[in-house]
Amino acid sequence: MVEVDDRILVGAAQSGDLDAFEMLVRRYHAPVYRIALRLLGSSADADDVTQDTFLRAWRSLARFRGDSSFATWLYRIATRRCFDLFAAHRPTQTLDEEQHGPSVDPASTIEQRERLRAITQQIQALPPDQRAALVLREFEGLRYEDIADVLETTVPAIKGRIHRARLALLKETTAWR
Amino acid sequence: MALDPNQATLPCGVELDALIEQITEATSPRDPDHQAHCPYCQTALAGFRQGWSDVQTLAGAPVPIPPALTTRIMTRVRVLAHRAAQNLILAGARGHTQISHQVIAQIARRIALATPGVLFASAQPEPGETAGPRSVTLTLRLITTYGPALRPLAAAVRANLNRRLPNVTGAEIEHINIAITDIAEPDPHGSDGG
Repeated sequence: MVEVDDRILVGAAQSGDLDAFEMLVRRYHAPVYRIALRLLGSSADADDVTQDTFLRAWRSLARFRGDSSFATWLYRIATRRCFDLFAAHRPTQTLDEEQHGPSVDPASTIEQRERLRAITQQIQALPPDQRAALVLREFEGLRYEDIADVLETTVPAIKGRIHRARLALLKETTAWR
Repeated sequence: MALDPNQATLPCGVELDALIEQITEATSPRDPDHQAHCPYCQTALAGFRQGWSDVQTLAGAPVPIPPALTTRIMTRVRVLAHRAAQNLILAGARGHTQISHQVIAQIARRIALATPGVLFASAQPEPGETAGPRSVTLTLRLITTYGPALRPLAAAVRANLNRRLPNVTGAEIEHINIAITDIAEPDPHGSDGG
């Protein structure tokens, strides 16, 4: 079938069309899962948050007016849910390298894998607001305007958070020789 | 060369923040002549470049998605949706048969899609105004190919629905409203849109 625009699928889903909603789930479950995984550090939590996000989206679909893109709206639901979990003082977990860590090129050196692990740990150690901005920018490639929309703040605030996150990341993980 | 990343500036006076911005934002050095000949700047830049390249490697690495995640999501959504959905009631001598409007919608969608020229269809059934519990009014949104005249195409969709939907579901169709929301080129690869 033809690649259908999000707005048409959302309109159909708002009228109760489950097949249209399923197309949206297929389109966006992977980025929602990746964002939750990078923010929470646990694949089980990320799986829960992804399911919750789409259930909440289905329930609130009537209130979606299209002021932002559907993706931005979904990512906002997902990041809010992650922040709820942080607020509940859930311990932040370090990504399990064996199961859920980056599947880098097997030819990579032990040294490189160590560096990647250090970066992953350092991302988990960032304050949640910086971590969210960094993940949306560097890992999902969103524009500053869309990140500000997802995290409900201004573009300068987002630029500041990303700048601080990059400084912390590079200062803590760079090998100084 | 021992450099301390916790210091704000290098021994040459250049701020570490400025070098990090240069790498991550791909901007030009503030003092290119100094940077080209300064061993402190060169060492720090090499370290940051490596670190930033590692971040890019990590960002580009595929993340395994848990199996059947979409199925699990849609199972839960369908439970929610069916709880709220209306039903068609078919009375029979040996009991009633109940068919959810969601099912009517799915079948109507498939019938509309089988009409040549229709690329995407979405159907919304509502209870009919006059007739009994078997009656439905359908609203369809379609995306069609560019080419065929739209009125005959809509008429063909109506005819197919009127012929096949009552046979399959037992529904009595009161009205079929059709909205053509877009026209598009058919996808030669047959993607499902997802």
